[in-house]
Amino acid sequence: MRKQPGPGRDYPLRGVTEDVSMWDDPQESAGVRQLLRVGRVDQVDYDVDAGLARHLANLQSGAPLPAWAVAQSTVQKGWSLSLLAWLLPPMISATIVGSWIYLRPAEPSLSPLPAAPAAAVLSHGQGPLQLPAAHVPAPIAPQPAAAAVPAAEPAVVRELELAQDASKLRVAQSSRTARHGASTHRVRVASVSNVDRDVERARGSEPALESGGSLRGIASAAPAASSATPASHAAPASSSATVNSVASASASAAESPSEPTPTAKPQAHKEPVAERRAEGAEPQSPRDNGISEARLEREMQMLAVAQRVLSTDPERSLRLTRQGEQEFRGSMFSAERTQVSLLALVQLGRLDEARRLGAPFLRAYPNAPWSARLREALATGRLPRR
Amino acid sequence: MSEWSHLDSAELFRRYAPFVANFLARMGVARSDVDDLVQEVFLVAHRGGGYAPGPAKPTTYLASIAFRAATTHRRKRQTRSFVRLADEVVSSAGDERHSPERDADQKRQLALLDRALDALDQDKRVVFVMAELQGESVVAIAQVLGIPVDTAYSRLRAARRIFREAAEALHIESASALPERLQQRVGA
Repeated sequence: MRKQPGPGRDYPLRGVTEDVSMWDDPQESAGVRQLLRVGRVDQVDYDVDAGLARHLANLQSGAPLPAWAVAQSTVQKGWSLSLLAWLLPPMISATIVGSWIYLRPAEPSLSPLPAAPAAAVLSHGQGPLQLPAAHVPAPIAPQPAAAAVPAAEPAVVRELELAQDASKLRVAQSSRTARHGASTHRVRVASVSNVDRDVERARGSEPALESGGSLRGIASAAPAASSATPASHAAPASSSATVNSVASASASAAESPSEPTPTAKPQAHKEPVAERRAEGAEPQSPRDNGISEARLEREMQMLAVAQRVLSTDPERSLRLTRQGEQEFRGSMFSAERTQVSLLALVQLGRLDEARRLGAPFLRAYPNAPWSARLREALATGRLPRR
Repeated sequence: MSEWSHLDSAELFRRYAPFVANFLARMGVARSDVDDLVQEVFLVAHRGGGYAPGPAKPTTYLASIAFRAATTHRRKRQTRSFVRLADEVVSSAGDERHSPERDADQKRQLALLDRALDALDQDKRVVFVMAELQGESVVAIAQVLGIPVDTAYSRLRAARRIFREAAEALHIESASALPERLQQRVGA
């Protein structure tokens, strides 16, 4: 049975309560009480005014945090990421299953109209919605063969899978608070299906893998559903008549927001789906925030992975930092990324290159939290222990 | 940007810098390093948003930061506990009735106190210092350190036992023979 903590619990060795200090305990020896008295009475002769002047000068000069504070915040971030990694799989599974159950297409036998090739049935939580044949998008031509473009590296696939997991987590979180309108459901499905498609592309099933593709998918799905721009009204280009087709069509339209198809635009204004999408439009700022958060999250993930594999797979670490620099040039983590890439060069044995690049970098950042470590690595030619 | 302005930071510093300095000294930080660590503690407090009124007192909040600073500092200078010189112990400002004999006795007592505290590891030492010398409750200490209350009580109990033994040994034995024994205890 768990012992009851707090005042009043017997102190087993001396029979007094633990909340009675040794100073107040008459059974303590005079020597112990004398030491405690000195410890309570003695005050360090601290010059408060001089210390305060130094403190204010530190604040005004923007003095960096001490290394121990920076290291502990990094460890806490690491714990957060680990916790996220543990929580992600069950949340993703629950989201996918829940979405599938809720959004699956209606049974053909329940449809009041015969299933015609030119009609599409959309399940939006309120029963099937019939689309006139004129508004059903034409089938699109199959994508070019995957062999035309080399498949992505496994490491890049893993990075995209990370982004996929993160986006699904956001979907799961937003689904708890989002409205239950049809357009909202389409937003969610569009986000997931876009990321899935990017991961499939990275795996080689589709060509044209680009850095940050999955994020662009996430970002592009949101404006497709939440804004009433001409691009979002563009006609979908999918042959499937299921909800997923709407999702992918929304994403397709949103992937080229600045290139509305002239022929598609007038048709799209008449389209009920587009109108419903416009009705479910959300304010601009949350969308922007979502995009920037997603970018920041991806950047942090890439940096975290690059740091983690620095000693075990420096080549991958270097590749990730360079890819990150291409995607997020000039971001707040740019310097951090550069020092990781320099450490990766050291670990790869490319010491001359690391020193050549590192010297001006260290001159620019002489007192950053990681400067000492980088300086040591460049001097010794190997990664110092943290 | 912190919601605490420089004035707020200044006020926090003015009121509690002596407390932090004392706490750091009790945690085994050399007096010559105390000011540097005081600066770091208040810098971290400022960047973290400063002290917000709540269940924790400002002293408890600052002590939690100072504990981290002292732990890191001590790790850097692990051997200093047993090579510290007597002249590192500064004179007391608490007793206004100065006399050479009193000052000498005060210095000697402070040296003994520091050596007795050196017998504790950092986890026990912070609990002991906050409970016995700063007068904090064990529940508050547990909250600030992020440990269960039972653990805090357990550490306090062990710290009291070790401190008592060390203090009694210090009073009995000569100061020159003590470090080896304490070192054996810490090593064990």
